[in-house]
Amino acid sequence: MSTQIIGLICMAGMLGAIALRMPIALAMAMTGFIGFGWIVAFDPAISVLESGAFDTLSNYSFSPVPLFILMGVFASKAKMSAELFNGAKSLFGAWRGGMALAAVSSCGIFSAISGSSLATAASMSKVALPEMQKNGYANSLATGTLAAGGTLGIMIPPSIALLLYGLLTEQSVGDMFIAGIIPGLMGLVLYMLAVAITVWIKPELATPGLATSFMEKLRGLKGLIPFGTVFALIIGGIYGGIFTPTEAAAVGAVGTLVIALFRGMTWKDFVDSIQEAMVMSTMIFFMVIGAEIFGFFLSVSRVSFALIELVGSLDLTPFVVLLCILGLYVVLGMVMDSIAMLLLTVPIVYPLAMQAGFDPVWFGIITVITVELGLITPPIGMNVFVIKSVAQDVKLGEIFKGVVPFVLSDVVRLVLLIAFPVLALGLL
Amino acid sequence: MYQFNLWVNRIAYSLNIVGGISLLFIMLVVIADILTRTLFGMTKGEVDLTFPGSFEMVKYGLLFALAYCMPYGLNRGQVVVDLFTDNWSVKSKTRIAAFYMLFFAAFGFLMAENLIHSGSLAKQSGETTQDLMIPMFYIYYLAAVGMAVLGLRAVSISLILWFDRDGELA
Amino acid sequence: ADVTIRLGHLWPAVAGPHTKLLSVWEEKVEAESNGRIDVEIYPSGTLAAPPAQYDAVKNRIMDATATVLGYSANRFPLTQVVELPGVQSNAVNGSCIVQSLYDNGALDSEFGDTHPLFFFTHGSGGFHNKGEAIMQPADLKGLRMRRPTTVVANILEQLGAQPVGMAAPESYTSMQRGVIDGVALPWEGAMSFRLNELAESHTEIEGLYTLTFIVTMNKQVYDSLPADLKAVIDNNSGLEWANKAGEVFDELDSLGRQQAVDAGHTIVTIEGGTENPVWKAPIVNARKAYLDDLQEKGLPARDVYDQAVALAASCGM
Ligand code: NA
Ligand code: NA
Repeated sequence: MSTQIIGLICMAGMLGAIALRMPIALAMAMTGFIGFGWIVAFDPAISVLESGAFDTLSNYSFSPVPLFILMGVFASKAKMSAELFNGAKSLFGAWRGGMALAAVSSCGIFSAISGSSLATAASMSKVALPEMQKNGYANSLATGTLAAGGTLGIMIPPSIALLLYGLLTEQSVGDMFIAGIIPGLMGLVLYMLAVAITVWIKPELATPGLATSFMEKLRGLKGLIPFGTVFALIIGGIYGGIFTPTEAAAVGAVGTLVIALFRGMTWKDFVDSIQEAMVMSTMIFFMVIGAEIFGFFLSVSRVSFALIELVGSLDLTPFVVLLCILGLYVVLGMVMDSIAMLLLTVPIVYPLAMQAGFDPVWFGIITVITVELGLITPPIGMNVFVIKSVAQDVKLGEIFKGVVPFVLSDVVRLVLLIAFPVLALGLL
Repeated sequence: MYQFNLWVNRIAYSLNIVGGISLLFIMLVVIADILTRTLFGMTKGEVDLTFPGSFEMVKYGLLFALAYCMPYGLNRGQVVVDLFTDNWSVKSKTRIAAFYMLFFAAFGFLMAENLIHSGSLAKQSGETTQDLMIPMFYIYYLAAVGMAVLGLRAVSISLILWFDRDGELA
Repeated sequence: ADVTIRLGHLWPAVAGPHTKLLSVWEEKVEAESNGRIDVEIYPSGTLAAPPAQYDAVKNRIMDATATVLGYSANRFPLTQVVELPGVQSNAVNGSCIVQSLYDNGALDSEFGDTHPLFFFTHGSGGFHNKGEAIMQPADLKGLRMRRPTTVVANILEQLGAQPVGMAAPESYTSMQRGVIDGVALPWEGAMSFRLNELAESHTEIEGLYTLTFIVTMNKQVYDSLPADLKAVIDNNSGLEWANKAGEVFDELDSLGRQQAVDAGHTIVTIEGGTENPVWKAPIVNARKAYLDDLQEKGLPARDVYDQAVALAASCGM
């Protein structure tokens, strides 16, 4: 049997196991182990397990992952998110739907110090959702805004997804972060437009807020200061040559910790933050190890080569190749977690994209946006579930309904980025 | 069994604390490295507070942060696709989760055994880290501890899930 | 094919060591075995990351590798004597020294766990930095330099520079952003890691340092080959290939140097290399520290060093 056939059989088995509730990390590791053992031999397959785990956990390049998470957790524990939302709220004052706009922009700003979508959605919904509900916002708009707003976290640097993509494809992590800035800001602007248009079409979904004076608006800006400081510290430090993108995570974590301490963070909050960050990191690293072990198998199976040959023989235009890849992501995104999806598919799909002649950094941005879309699309949308856990009384269907305008604006963003790659690559 | 679960919980929790401290250690090493080398660069080498080995301190700090938090975070740290099994009973869902935990147990013990083996080889060859010259076998042995506890913890979680003893899960 | 040999290495598929050395080896082995051996090459560390490649061969995750021995510190201390300042003068010379040491049995104690095919080194490493050229040791004071090996780190430290340990792929970004002022690399490395784009001046010190590479095979896999296929492998091992590898690296060095010349960079060549009286003291100290340390551990480092120096005079000259 050819190695490619074995490869396909094992991958089919893996998808089946995932459907039968096998944890994704375990499914990848098992497939890697069995597949490698089948193609090569089982003694070395045991070494693959050890190498996959030991080398991943002691890989210097992965050190920012827990630290970026820690940074977001510190910010949330120090109630920086509440202050941010209140500030944004007074900025929008008496606008209809102002609170939703405030929520979206707070998500965008919060993501400047949060590396993960789930963390952004969780921390912002805890403060913004109760207020919107109290003020008569329709549940669909309130929850949809926050679920979608959370996905901004992944594009606006720092971003764990962009970091992992950079490591998987040997692109500079700093370049990935810088390329994410404009697409991230575009997301923010388009989401705000989505809110404005939704409210304009259906005014009953939202209520106007209280009018605020100019001074109040000015004071509202104060909530932005800590975020602006940490963001400037990170990006300025990377640009200015004080530290590397890898080290930026430690700087950000310490910077946020200092602000949190000024805000009166208690010892208990501090300990809880570390605990929370470690649990989230553990979740990611189980999957990274699984993907690493899976990667050994993927290499010896030579499935990627076969795929490239196949696509080459079909003579598809690069645009069609791109559509196929994005289509695959949309389908997978319906059922899978975004990080798992990146880890699993990038090693297979990336060589195809390179053969089609795409810019590796640009392709990373497109990939990450599409993968993130899966966080808010039914039936499995992790961000939606996070919101649901905060708003027990809201039906899942209602949240998914509220998300629709944002999905549309993400499609617009993708189209713009595909038509004008300079939007992603211009700052490099 | 109650005693077993209790002790595994305690050990996993203690390792978890070591892991958390390790994470803070990484953070501080990076900051100290940035500060000292910036000072070094600004004074053209006159003020030299730099220290060697930050790269490998972070590298192995990360290893211990994660390897020692994995046992405690094991049950909360898994992503499962539940779309296709929505209509299963709660009982079947916990049973199959208990079953999958056994694979984690096998993984943990296998890893521990392999790391001990690698450790003994590194001891013979005298391999050390690049800058601080720390013998590699210490690192392998210490990592093996984390993986062995991961195995124990997986067994414990599996038992707890199978026999519906949720109360014993920390 | 009867046997598949999976060979993983660390260079990208477009780099000289892949196209001019390992692919050539692949073709030759396949042809001489009449296609009974199929060599599959995995470039860029796709099968095992560079620091894990030697162990990956030992554990048969892959069947063969071309990798750097220095990734595992103090595991091959006698072989790395070749890397000491003042031993080799270029890649052909260095490759011949290390291969001859192995062939003479001086390094047997370090390679019991795999089946070495051939050894080689890259050319003499030099400094590539932003800003003013490094003309004399004092110019290094206050600079942050990426260190390739512990021995070079020791020299840099004695000269008042700060040796920085970082992953090789990070060195481009770090130098671009100014986190480090320069790197110690051979010309070939300055070219392939794209540091010639960033550096403004280069300092050549013949014999400053080198890295040792090994092309090695899993023992079990080699032992299980039938006699005629073993002969094909044996026929493509040893000094002849060490020499070819050295030639490839010397050629890449001259390409890398030409790149800097064309770009109009400042290139300083230290007269007499490591023997230059102004540079000699720290270099001799670092070398002595390394050898003393091994002697203390009961290893015949001085003896290997003397052999290496004797070989240096006759090798590839
Ligand atoms: Na972010
Ligand atoms: Na989805």
